[in-house]
Amino acid sequence: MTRRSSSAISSAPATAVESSNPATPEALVAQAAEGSREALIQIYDRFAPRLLGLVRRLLRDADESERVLEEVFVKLWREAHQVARARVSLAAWLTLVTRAQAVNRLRSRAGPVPLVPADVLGDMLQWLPDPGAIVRLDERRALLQKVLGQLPRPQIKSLELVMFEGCNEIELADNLGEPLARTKSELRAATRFLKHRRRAVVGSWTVTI
Amino acid sequence: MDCNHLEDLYELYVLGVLAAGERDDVRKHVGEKCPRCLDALREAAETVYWLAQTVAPVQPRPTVRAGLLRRLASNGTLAAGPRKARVISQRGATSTRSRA
Repeated sequence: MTRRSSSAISSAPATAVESSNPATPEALVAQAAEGSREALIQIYDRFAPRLLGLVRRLLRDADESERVLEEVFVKLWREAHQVARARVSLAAWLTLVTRAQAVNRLRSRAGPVPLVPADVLGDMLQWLPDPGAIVRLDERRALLQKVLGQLPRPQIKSLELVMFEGCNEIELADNLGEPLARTKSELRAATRFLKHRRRAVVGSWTVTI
Repeated sequence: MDCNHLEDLYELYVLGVLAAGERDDVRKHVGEKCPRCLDALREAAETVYWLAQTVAPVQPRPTVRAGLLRRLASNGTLAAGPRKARVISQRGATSTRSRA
């Protein structure tokens, strides 16, 4: 294995040259898998602000959020081989792992049971999207934002509670003061709507947004 | 349970909010490499990714980056580099590589 020096990355974020001709995240994770700390730090520079935004939304604690962020990148360093070999989107891997770790940290404040079990995360390399799918989504972020605005307010609320408050379906029903069956039905209607609209936005369906 | 009955569960599986029984139903199909379920989970992961992008970015303090670098360089296990272990490809095939 070729070990690369970390001296060039001791303090400065990505250089102007790198940003004008950036390597893909997947190329960087392949380099990280070969022991390049520089590549890992380039990934950090590129993704950390968006990931920290997600963690902060869940935990609402600056120090704890930054600790979770660091753990995500340590996990990536440890598992870079698996991620690189699976040829999945690194952005998707980072986002799902970050959310799962933040949710589990959030729930550990109340008890030891993780919301996102390790075996769910453990099989994710089999079903994470490929990099091209995520690039297409990123290119259409504005349209997707518009789609969210089309959801009924109660469904938006349900999605927010699940996505950003870490509620499971029972807690969601308690939070909304609704029967569990109705809550489950509304939540599933919301995710079904998003699925269909996302297909339209990325071009696999023809629908006017 | 067949795939038709799992149609509305994939996003919730990815979000980790399903109760144990429904979670096990999805996991069983994943374990069997059910292509329809794996495709549906890929789509579900895209939806969850997209929802996550609605949050505004927050710049970490420089100490986080510095701390990460220190940890990668000084911790014995981490400094040895990423683990070359059992690998699961996107298609579910497995292979094993030894540390170089």
